[in-house]
Amino acid sequence: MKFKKLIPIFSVIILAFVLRFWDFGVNPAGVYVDEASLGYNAFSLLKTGQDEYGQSWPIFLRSFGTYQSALYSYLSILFIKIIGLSNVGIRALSLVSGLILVALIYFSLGPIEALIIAISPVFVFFSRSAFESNLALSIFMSGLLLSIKAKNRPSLLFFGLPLLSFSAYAYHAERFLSLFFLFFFFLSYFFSLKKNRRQLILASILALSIQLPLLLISLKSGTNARLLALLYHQNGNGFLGFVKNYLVYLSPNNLFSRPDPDLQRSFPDLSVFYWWMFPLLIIGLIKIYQNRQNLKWQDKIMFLLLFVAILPGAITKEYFSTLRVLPMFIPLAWIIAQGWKNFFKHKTKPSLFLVFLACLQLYSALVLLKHERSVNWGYSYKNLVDKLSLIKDSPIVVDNTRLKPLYILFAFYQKYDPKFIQQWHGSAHLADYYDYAEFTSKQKLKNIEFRPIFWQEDIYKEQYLVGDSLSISDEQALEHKLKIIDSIKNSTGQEVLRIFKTNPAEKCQSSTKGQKSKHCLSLVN
Amino acid sequence: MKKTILFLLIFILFVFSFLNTKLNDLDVIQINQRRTYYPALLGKLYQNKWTKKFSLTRQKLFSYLDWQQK
Repeated sequence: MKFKKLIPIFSVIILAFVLRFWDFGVNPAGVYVDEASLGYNAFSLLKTGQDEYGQSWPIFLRSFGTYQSALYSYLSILFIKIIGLSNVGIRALSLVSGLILVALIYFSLGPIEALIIAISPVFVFFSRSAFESNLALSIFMSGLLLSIKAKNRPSLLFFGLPLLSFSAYAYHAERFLSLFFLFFFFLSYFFSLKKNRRQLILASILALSIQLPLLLISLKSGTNARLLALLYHQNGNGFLGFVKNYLVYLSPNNLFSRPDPDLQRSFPDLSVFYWWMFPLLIIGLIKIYQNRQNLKWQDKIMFLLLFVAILPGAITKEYFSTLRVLPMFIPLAWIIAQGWKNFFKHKTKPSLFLVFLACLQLYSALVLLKHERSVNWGYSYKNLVDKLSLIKDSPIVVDNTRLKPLYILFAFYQKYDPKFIQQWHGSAHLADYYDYAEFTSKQKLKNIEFRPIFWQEDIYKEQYLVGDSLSISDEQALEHKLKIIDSIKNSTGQEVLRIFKTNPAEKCQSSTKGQKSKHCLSLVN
Repeated sequence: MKKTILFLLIFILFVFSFLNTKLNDLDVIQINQRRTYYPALLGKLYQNKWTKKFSLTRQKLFSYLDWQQK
């Protein structure tokens, strides 16, 4: 009997696991710089107790002047210790977070809700790569759902409110959401749980004390630099512009048909939810409207979450950023589940047909993601690092015009000693660690320089130049007598990066007297 | 119930592992030119002129529903 009860939860978890774990680590192909930064900082913390800049156990990682939340790196230390600094090692925490979320939703909202979370593209995608927002979502939802249940079991406040507070350490959007819901639960329970006010006040004090270090650090200028850079500007549209930005997140086209425009945050041609979930959402909304007199406390909070969770995305200037509004997709999944339950009642076969359809669509999207988006995920840089590591005797210039923090990929793949990277960064800005959001785009690691190519000088020095066809075109290579040494292809066989060797002697010979550079004269002398 | 769940699990494993073959040149062209990819067996069932027409109609319908763009 007990085993029979466990079958549905195991089925949903296994389904969620297969969809997330198939091709895990290599799909998306490559590692993006943000992931590499989270991973390398976890590695640095594991080895030295300091991040790449030499800051001991920071609350935010300065990273590329973006001040990422550090909790993902802290919790990844265990995985990196066991698995090692690799694609799988850095993404494992996100996978676990995604599976915990499915289990959490199963027990709190229901099996159909969990099934929708298990198969929906947005949740599958964010569980396959290292995203702080995916970790934050699991912590935030566990805090929120426990706080909701505290209405009937007030002792749960001691778990719910602190977890809500803790989620703020995982991602920037939760810094706002957690505070909002802490105040919301405090106010609503202060009047509804009159007998348990003491428990409520103690739990709230505990939650606020957890949040206090973060709030104090938030006063530092650097920690808000990313937000200020992304903030929605009043470009003449004023409040109406903000409303439009807000409504973008409720557009059926963005939710059910068109993918997130950021190529690193979506499956190709697959939206947040599947197109066939749209009718189920409409049915769900109708059902909820018909049942509006009997809505439970939990149902009302789901609607509140839907409208509040959009705000962190709507205040930024980016068009439809799924990363910043992940919590809003939980209430949407819940509404879709109401439609699903109402439409299919207890018929299993039509439900299974939709699961098959989801599997087919996901399979297609995963193949496209792996091959078509390999350029966007920096697949070729792993090969580049391997090839350049063999060149030890000559200087190398890698063009980083299109991807400024390239150095972190080299540190990640080569597993550079964190002490070396800390010394390389220097300790000049350790005192104002949280106030220094500057990031220099020119870096040098050992014999490799990361910067744009200076054509007036670089071709007259004996060295290697690395770049894509935009950095070094065929015409430029011919004109400047560059000799191609190697090329790196993406997973569809297209040449994306090329390694050239300069030939100063031949270049100087071919130059006319007027064109000859001062470097040619020094070469002759 | 047990049978359907078993069938579901076998199906998922079938789709996600046995059909995970290495891509040939034709597959790569497919990926670059078409917006979906399925192995040959499933492709015949799942990709045809009717599904393409349906997909285009669906996209038009969702664009029409994009009220905040208007």
